[in-house]
Amino acid sequence: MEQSRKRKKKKVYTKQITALTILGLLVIFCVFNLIPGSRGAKKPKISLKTVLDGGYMEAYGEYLTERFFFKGAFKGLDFSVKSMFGERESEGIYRGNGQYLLEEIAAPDKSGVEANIRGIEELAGTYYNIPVYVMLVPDAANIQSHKLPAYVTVRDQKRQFKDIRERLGAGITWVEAEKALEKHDDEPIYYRTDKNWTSLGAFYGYEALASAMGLDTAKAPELVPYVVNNDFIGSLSEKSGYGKGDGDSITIYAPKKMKDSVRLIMTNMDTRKKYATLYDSTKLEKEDKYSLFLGGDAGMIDIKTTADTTDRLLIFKDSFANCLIPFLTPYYREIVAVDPALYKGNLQEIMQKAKFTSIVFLYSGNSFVTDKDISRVLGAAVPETAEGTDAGSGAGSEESRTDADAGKSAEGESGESGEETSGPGVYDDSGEVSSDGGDGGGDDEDSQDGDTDDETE
Amino acid sequence: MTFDSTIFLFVFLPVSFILYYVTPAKFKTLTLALVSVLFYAWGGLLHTLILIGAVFLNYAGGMMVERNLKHTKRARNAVMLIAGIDVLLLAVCKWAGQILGMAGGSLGDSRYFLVPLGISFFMLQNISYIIDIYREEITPQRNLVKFSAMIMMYPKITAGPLVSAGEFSGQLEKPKLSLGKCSEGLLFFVRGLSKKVILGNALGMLFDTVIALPDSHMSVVSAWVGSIAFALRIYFTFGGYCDMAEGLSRMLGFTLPENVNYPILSTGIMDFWSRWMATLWKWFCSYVYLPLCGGNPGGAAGFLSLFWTWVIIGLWHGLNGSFVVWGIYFAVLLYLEGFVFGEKLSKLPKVIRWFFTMLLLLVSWVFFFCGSAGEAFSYLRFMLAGGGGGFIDAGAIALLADYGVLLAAGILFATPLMSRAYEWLVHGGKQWQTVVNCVVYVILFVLCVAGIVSGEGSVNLYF
Repeated sequence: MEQSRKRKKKKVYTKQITALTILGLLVIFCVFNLIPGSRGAKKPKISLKTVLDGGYMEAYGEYLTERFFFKGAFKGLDFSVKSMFGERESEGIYRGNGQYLLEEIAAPDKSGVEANIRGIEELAGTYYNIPVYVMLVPDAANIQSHKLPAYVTVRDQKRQFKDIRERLGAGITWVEAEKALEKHDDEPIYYRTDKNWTSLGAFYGYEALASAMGLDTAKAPELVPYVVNNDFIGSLSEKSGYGKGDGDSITIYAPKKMKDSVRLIMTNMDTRKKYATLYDSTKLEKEDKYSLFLGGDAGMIDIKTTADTTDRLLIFKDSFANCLIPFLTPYYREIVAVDPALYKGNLQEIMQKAKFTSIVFLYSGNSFVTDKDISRVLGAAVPETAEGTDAGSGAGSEESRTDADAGKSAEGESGESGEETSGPGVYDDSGEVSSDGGDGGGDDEDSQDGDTDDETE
Repeated sequence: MTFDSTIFLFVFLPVSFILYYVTPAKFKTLTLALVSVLFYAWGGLLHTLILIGAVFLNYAGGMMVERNLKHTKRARNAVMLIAGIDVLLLAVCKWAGQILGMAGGSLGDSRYFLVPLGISFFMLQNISYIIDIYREEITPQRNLVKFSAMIMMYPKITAGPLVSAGEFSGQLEKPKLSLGKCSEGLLFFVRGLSKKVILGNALGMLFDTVIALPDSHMSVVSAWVGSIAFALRIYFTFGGYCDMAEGLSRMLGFTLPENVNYPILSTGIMDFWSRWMATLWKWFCSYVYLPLCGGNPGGAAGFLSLFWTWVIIGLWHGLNGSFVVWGIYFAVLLYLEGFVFGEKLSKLPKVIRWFFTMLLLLVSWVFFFCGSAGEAFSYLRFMLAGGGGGFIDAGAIALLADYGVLLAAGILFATPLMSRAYEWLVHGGKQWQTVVNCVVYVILFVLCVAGIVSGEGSVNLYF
């Protein structure tokens, strides 16, 4: 009897100690929570209406949660628990088979898509003598849906593309990237941890684009892949929180024979810096290694080449185009790549840059259906009267200047650097052609030597 | 404000308890009433005005009924009037937004038409208070502060349990505050919070995955997994809330009746309703079903009484055809079990009764989670014959492979096995057991905070 009473007393003691521990923890959390965890959280504004309907209180509750101390760590912990319980989706990203991370197919912003299509059609109508191509690159969850968890179904991007294609006017050429990639859906055409396609995927995309544009690929130099990095962890890993696992390889394609390379000058029009290569090897030391291609996203990039042609290409693009553009350099004297999300100017300013012979819209499906900037850039610039706006005459006066510039820049400046600048050339942070073009070439060799000896074909 | 929110855990809970504990004994009830109003006011002042208005109405109404008790007809009319206003207020608060939404206007989206937190349970308590006075089972509470605290006490306002005034007013006179009871209450609260945040939310994730499957990918196995996931989710969500309510009440010095008691062990439909939302069924039995059947539960009249009671219970859950079908389904099952096959069923082995009860309950949840009766019947078709996925497909296999651990954990924790095993392990009173107990509760609490801060899955299914 006595023993039983003692035992019961001990049980109560256990409960009390545990409760006091929890109480202590609660007090610690309360005290810590007085310190704002996130400066980004905005305190809601109070008004009679929001107090009456409870909107203020709800917003205040959300604000408290948002500024919770160590919120990131707590979210990480919760994520681990959910992953342990089998969750394979986080922030719109699925953890697929083979450690692949696949971004959900985005829901189209109907008015945005409509405005983009209208903008493209107006552009094609205004500059009717310049062929316009639209190439939407399917996202990984569309082409490699077999990598998604078997019970996951994503939005039908094929249908989205079909709708967009049907609504584009007859004067606009649709580039069938989807079919081109479907043929290679079991190859590494997308990065495992990034939303972008790999250089291999971009190569298949380039083939489809070249075919649609009628480019004479027979004249192009033979290309070989070089692996320049083996530990690329893409943005999807950080965004979703899913384990990084092994890194991806980044490959660049370069002419097999250096003599076949076209020389080029790439100008980042945002920073006005010029480079003698399309690849920024310094980015391989940083987190966003995909910025290797064209040095990352920029509002406008101007590439002048020594290609034996007077053709000039204008590309409206997102990051998917960055690793495809290098394939196009042998076919154009000049390529102007505009990223409407970053470009602050208007179409007239773009069209005055050169006498373009082709215009390409190159976007990933997810970017295009959620984009609001294409129509902004196009809409702001489409001349009010199409009559009298002749693409040729409009840019005609520029022709001799740009040709001369191209020649001077590509031959003269790179010549000054004393190095041949070709596809796989790389540059560093200083980026000036006159002093760094040569170094870039050197880096290129280093990177090829260092990273690719065993892996290049 | 819900119990699983940062504002409740780290602001309201500490502040309200400090206020309650430092208040002298004779003012504790006033503090309790005031913090309960504050708790409710967090959902919107307009809703609080409705609540306070209803408190005054029923407070005055109770005394009016008592004054007229000698004149049966007048007393009955008074009850009809006050309970009628309560029902009307409940219907308006619960359905106005939905009706306006169905009418197509944007008014239905206004926050004013959101269902006020806990209104369903609050109004049922008011109605029972008035009827109990009419039945002379209780005398009206003459102290407005005590009446307000009794009706509005915040732990039980969100999800019950429904407590009769007779049961509660005695406790209110002298709350039993002690370190032991408070400790027990806090641990009860953490257990409830863990059920809701850790298991309830995770099972919600599985359920959402299944329900998102298109018809072409739905298999028999997936459909059953979805229904099991929902059943477990609602158990951990609602059961968790009831535990939290019980824990908070104990910390305030009160004890609430048991509302959820391992419904997974039910071996019959009646048994289920004595284990799941027991106080709700008891309420409807006492104030709707028994008065309707007039002491004759068998026969056609008895069935009709059961039928209408369950139609009302269905509508109490929401203005939706599937809830009505859900109610009728239970009316039929209860009648068949109680008056047609009762004796035969009781002779069957317990395990067989349990199996068929679970089967019938899993079917019943389909009407609960589907948006309409049509959708519910489509889903039942999947459970019987499957959709495009046949009996089992790769999706179903992957579902089981990914979420098998969660399902197993859900089933295991829904039984008393884990709880008893834990009690056996930890509560011997030895020092190491105290340490283990502390560590386990700290881990649970931190995981709950992580779930709350990440802000996902705080869906309330019942209120």
